[in-house]
Amino acid sequence: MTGQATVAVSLFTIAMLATVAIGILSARGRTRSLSEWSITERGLGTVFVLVLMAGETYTSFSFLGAAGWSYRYGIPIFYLIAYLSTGLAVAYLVAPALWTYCARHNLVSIADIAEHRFRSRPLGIAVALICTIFLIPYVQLQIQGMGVVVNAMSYGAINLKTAAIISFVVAETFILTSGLRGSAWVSVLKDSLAVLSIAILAIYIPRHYFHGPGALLDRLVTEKSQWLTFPGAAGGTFGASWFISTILLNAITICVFPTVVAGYLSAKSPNALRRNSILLPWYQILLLVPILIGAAALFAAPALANPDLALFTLVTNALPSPVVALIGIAGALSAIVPMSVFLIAIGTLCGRTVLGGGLRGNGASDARQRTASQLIGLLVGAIALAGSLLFPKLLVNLSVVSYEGIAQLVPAVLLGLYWRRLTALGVGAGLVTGGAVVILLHATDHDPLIGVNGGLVALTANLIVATTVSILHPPAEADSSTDHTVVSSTC
Amino acid sequence: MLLLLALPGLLYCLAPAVANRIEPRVFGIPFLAAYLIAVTIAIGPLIWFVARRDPAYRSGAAEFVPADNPPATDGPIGDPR
Repeated sequence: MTGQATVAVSLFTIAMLATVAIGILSARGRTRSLSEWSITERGLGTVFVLVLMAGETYTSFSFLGAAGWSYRYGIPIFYLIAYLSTGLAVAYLVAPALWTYCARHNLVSIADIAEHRFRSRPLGIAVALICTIFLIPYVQLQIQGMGVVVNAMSYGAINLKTAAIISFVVAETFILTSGLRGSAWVSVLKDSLAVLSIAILAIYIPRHYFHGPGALLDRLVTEKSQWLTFPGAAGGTFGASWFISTILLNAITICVFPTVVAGYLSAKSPNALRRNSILLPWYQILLLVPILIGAAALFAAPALANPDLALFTLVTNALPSPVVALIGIAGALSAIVPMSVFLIAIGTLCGRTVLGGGLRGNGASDARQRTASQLIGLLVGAIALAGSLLFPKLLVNLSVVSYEGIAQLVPAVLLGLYWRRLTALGVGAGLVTGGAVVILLHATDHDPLIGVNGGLVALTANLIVATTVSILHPPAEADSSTDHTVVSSTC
Repeated sequence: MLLLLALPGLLYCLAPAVANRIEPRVFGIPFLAAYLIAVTIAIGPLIWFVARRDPAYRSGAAEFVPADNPPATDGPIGDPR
């Protein structure tokens, strides 16, 4: 191991031990209920909600992927900033509504919302299973993202597989003890390091490779002008209509995304969420830095085989090893935090809704639901780890359609809260239609369809079917979803 | 007033139509990128502006959920602690 690698690996080891310690300690003095594990018993104030939400949206993929996309396609990567910010404007209304509904009826996940709203356990189970299928690839993506980061920051001393196993062990250790509260606490460490890393990158990289950001922008304008306007570089697959349709689809989908909803539900009050919508848009500005570095790599590291390595190629070439380690640790935590949140969400969905008897419990106590949820979190983590070690490509292919798949839950989770005449039959029929369209468009290679994001096409079909069926087949008696027998004792 | 919340999405979606050019550059930043950055910076203050005028925000009230209509008898849910 070279001197540089020794420094980086030592710092990395210390950081991982600190992560586990912070995660475990955060559970001290807390109750051992499912609600505490899944959504911190609605205990987080504005600052923690903000840090947790920033932590789960700003993943290792944002670090690597934003730079990679910028390198490959140019301006279309702004879709990421655009939908995250637009999503926050939507969330100003939607997040407190979901919070209110769940607090009132004692619900902890989006499967609970569907099950309670439509009085239908099969629908709850369907939501839980769909989420699980589409979230597992995200867990694997994080494990693999961490592998890439740790391999690069240790100058190759830690190989991809070892890094994958480390991420699994670290994440599982703290989520098994502390649940979502652990993720929120680790997010504090992660965000501090991430902001520091971003600041260093923003100042140092343009200066090192060019004579400041101005010179870099001048070269982009004269030599790579294709990257700076729509439809972007690389043949323009991601043109204007793709940009618009993706923002529309993702801005709504992010509000029902199971892990994001877990973040909403962990808030202490509706105003913590409204303040989150006011403050978090500025955090998205940070994403400009990886985007700028991806653009810098066009000149500093032309012809990269894997554009996702654009950022770390520049970092390891330009910076001293302790700084490389710092950025690497921030990158690694950017994998561990979202991974832990994903595993907790999957655990809750399967452990409570599928195995634990759902809302009524069918005899399963809260403690049993919590244990089942934790075991599912462990099992799913192990599956994703095995996937990343044995079949790195297989599940990742599925992640391409993850967002589009989860978008199909919008009627079940969101529309139902706003439109009382929506029925379980309608939602079910819409879900089948939307799912079929997503699969069909992908199987026949028609996504994007005439430049439009296939998920939006599917969601439109889904909504049309759901509303039509609901209108044509109204429930036998007047909608009874207004009984309040399950008023939460915590309210 | 709450309709203003649709403005960010609208401005982003208009970008390819109204701002798809490199010149004029703003502080050296190509126009399209500058436009998108400006929209992003403006969103936080915009939502704050809306919130200031939103009775639910000012009183910290629960959000109105039509599925629970008529409103639940347990009243507004604030901080339970």
